[in-house]
Amino acid sequence: MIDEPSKSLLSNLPDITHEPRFRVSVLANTEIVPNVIILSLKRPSAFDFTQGQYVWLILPKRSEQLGVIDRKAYSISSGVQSDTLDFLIHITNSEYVSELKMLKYGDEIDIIGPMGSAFIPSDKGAIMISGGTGIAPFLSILRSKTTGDFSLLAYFSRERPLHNKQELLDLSNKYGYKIFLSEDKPKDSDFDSFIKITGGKSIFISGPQGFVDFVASLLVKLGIKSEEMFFEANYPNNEENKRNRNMLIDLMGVYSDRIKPGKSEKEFSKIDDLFFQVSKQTSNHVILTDHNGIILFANNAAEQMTGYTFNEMMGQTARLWGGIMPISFYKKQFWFSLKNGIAVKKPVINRRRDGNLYTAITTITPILQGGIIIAYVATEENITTMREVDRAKTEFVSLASHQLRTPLTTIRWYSEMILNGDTGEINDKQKKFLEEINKGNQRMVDLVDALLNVSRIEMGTFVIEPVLTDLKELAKSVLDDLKPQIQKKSTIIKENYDGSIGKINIDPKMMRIVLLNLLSNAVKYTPEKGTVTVSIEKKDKDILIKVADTGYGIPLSSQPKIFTKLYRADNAREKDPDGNGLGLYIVKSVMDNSGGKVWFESQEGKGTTFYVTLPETGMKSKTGTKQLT
Amino acid sequence: MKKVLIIEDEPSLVAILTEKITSEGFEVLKAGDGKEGLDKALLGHPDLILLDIIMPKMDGVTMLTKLREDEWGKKVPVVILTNLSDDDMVSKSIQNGVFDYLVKADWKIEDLIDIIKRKLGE
Repeated sequence: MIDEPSKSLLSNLPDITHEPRFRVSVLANTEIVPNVIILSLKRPSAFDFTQGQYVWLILPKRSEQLGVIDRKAYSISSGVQSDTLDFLIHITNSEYVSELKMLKYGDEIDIIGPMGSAFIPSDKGAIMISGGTGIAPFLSILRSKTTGDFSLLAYFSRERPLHNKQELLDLSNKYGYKIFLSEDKPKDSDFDSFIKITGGKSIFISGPQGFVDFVASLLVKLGIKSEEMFFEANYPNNEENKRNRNMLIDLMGVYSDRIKPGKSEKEFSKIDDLFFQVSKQTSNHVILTDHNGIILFANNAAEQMTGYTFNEMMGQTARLWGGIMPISFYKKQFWFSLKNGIAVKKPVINRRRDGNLYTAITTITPILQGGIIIAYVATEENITTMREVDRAKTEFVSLASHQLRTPLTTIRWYSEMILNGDTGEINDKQKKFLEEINKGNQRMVDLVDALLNVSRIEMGTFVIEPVLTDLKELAKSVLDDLKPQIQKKSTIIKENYDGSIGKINIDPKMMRIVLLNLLSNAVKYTPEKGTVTVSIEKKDKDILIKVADTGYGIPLSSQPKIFTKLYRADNAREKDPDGNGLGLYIVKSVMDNSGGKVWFESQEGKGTTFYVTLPETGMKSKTGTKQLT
Repeated sequence: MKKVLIIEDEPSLVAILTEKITSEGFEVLKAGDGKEGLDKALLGHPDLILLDIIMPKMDGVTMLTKLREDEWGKKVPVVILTNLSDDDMVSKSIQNGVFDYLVKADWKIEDLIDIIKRKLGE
């Protein structure tokens, strides 16, 4: 069983052409307590983040000296409204961190991000438990005045006292957060009141490994289920985790030791290592993680795609290169299915070690043993090039159509003025010729408009914005636009509108495109003095629009292909060589994307009826960047 | 006599618009790019501006943004006359105040004159 990606594979992904990397200056770097600094950076104006997110900090000079980008990820501790980006950093022996400590006012540093967080601020609220600098993401949540019922239990050691006690108490008074501060080790009684009143809420735990282990074991004893607890960097080394890990190691047999980084390829030459070689050498990125997402194995393609060596990935989670999609994306698109043992396949944007973004179709498959998820296998297929080609295509169509429209406008306006007599009398033959020029020109204008619409449909970039609209007025105005054609062919128009239908929620521009295409087709493909009937009525829980004509009809052989792009039935081609074969394709795409339906009945020589239904509640809205014209 | 400022870089379109608008009894000011257009607008205080989007030196959206920073420029009616129908720049310009937005190739020059007259209250 696999949860397949949706149809609009690429259109829902953010634009990755602009790398969200910022060079910012240091405003302050203060050692607040021994070995803990607050690094305060000037927030770039275009930098938006949600509480709980983190960024990569890059020291430009250090990266230059090393020749590779050296960076670490830190949670943002300032609120989302703040002018600064603050980071709470625990000083360790690492060279990188010591250089962070040396930063002073005016120095420059690069930030990449923001990236998501495992800590999910929801409207329901949460219980947050932190040890030491693990408080950073929670500070951001509290300082952002998050709505919902939030509680914080913050633990600090005597050597590292809590520096922002007063601020936390003020925030608690102001927004009603429940706050518990302690300089002791966590104990059962600390949680009593929190667990009771907040029963069922998610519990987020952040801090050093020892702290996480200890708190998790206390909570398990208090009857908290492991799925109610969330961890970011450190997962508790508790019984459940140990058991699952052992099951995995048993399952992996000899490999659990052999796949460790640094093992020579030669050790895997035996025939029983064949499948291992397959996964190691396959051109797609493959990783194996334990049930907490901790990476145990990464193949060569994974190293190439992410830019991290297996050695760097080992023991980390895929958030090393992921985490940049919205938090809700991972939650809804991945974890919901995965936790239920269902594999997921989705396009995701990730970030390479060098900071460049790439798009990959990611498939994650849970590995079950005795009904328990003990591991995940994740594969990624890089589709960045495919996206770029798609983008180039749309840009080309858009540019080409703009360039085409300018000379078309010139032809249109000049011929119109000559025809109107602005430049003096013209004879009948000149008039007839100019009208032909005008007609040809109009055909080109329509074609350019239709091509633009098709490119927007195919990119999924068009929007549907429903507003309360009177469908019958819309139909009348479309008929009004078609008056010249209707008069020319002496077509009889019959209108049947159910008066009880009020305004409904539809996108008037979209619906206009639909009606214009159906009605102009009906007039076009009906002989002179024929009848076109338009009716709007209620049918069950839908609004039904019917456009019936007494025209040439669609030949049976053409009926299955009538909504296909650029397809034109033979008799249509014969009656009207000017059509472009895009109209019904656009109609179908609009209806498919707005929760409606379109179909038809036709008999050659008798006529055609097109049916369009819309839910009584109106069109589904669709976000995008472009409107159809 | 009411003044219409045409900001457009395509000479053939400037010529025909000038011809038509003049024949309708309006005075025409012309500019070939956004920068020249902004200067002429702030100096000549036209009653209406016809504005192209894609132009050299300064594009129409930037011009409109700068125009709206001026006390007089805040109120002058602007009709965006472009052949772009889907650009992000256009949605940005919508934020810069109320205006009419026409795709040139979709409109007859006669209809455009009707809009100009209506905008000028004639």
